[in-house]
Amino acid sequence: MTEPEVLAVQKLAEPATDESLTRTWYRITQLSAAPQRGRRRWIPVTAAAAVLLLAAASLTLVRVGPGTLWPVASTPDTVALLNQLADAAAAGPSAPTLKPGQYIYVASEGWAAGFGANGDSNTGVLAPQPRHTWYDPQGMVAVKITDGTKDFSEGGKGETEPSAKPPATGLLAPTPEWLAGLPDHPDKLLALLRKEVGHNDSWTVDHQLWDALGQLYAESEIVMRPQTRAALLRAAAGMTGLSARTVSIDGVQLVAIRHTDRDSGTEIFFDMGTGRAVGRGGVFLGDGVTIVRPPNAPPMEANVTYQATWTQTIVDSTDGS
Amino acid sequence: MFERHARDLLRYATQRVGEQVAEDIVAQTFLTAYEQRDRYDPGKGELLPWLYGICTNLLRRHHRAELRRLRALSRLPVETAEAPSADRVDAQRAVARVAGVLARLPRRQRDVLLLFAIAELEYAEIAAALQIPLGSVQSALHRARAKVRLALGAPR
Repeated sequence: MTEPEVLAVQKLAEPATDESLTRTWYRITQLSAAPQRGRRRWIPVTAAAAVLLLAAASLTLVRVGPGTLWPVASTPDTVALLNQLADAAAAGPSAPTLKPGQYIYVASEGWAAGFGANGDSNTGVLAPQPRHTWYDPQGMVAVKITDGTKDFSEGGKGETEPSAKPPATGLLAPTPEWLAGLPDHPDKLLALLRKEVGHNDSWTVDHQLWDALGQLYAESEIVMRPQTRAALLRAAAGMTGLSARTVSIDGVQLVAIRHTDRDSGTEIFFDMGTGRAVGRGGVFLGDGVTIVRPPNAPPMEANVTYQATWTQTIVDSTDGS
Repeated sequence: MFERHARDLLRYATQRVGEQVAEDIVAQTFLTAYEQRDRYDPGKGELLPWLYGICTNLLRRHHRAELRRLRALSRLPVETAEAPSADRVDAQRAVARVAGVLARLPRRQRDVLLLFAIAELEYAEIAAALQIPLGSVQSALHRARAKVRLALGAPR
């Protein structure tokens, strides 16, 4: 097929980009998640599952609905990216040893949409959300949270209200020792984490797990062993419903790995060079909600409701900010 | 299926209606394929031409967007920011001319030509994708190619 007129037509078509491929995958999950009438509700969901089942005979899950596994496999490029990130993370620095009385200090900068202003619960207005948080490593309990001026942990409706009974050590209340003891084998790790998350009436297991991993990274990434970082990423490659996009935050290119469940996208941002988690975000994929981005907000996807990056350090006290 | 065919379908659809709409259409193509899986007969050909057929049907809903895109391409100015090489100017003119011809082609001729040139389907596969006789594919393709050839050879 070398005739000039055919070649000329071919020149009109550029190869599809990886990003376009990933966005197409998003759209399949969105179409799958869009509310349908009656029995048709689950047809696209099952269709998306079948698409994957046809593609990967090794995929075994097809259960659908809350508390079960999202029936859309992670996109192939996402799996490849997660494995690349794991390779980079495995070469990272070893975990620091915390002395008694030390804290993990997390400074995060980002934007969050506030809903309900002027009585309109369908409109979210993005605003800066700086946070300075000190975590007690024994359970990653936030002992102090400020926005730089206001201390949320002092009286009133604080964000650090102590619960009557602290949760058992685990994914939701990790310690450096618990993190150090996590299996390095991705399959074993994924099984353990899914079991820790348990079932829920509203969200799929993997959506909850990705959300919990986002919190785990946000409070304790610095104390993870490089082997654990790598194992978490390789375990994630076995999860369903993940897709990837690149995101630029403060001029830094990051990889956002997103878990989609119905109209909710939960993202964790990774540094491609180090394989380390450096932030997280959220997107709303449904209809009927407007996100207002003020002029001083950085460029971001139209449906982003939250995005923040963090730096973590080990400190001896909760003084400061 | 997605991994194997999505990239090809995206390239084809993106050329016709732009990236954003193409992504929606290709996503819909896969879901439609599943819903209509009973209609796919492996004995009558490969899966990809069948997917192109679904995709092409979905693209028809975006006929106006496709024409707008082609007309815009046909009016692309020659870049002046840097001194362009003669080859580059020629290439841009060729793109503009081809886009102009495609915009003026009857829909069937355009479908057939793009399935042949971009999707690289065989005559029989195009016939299966569009559910038209093989002879119609051959004649539509002959006419479409002749028009493109004429445009490329004609002075601007």
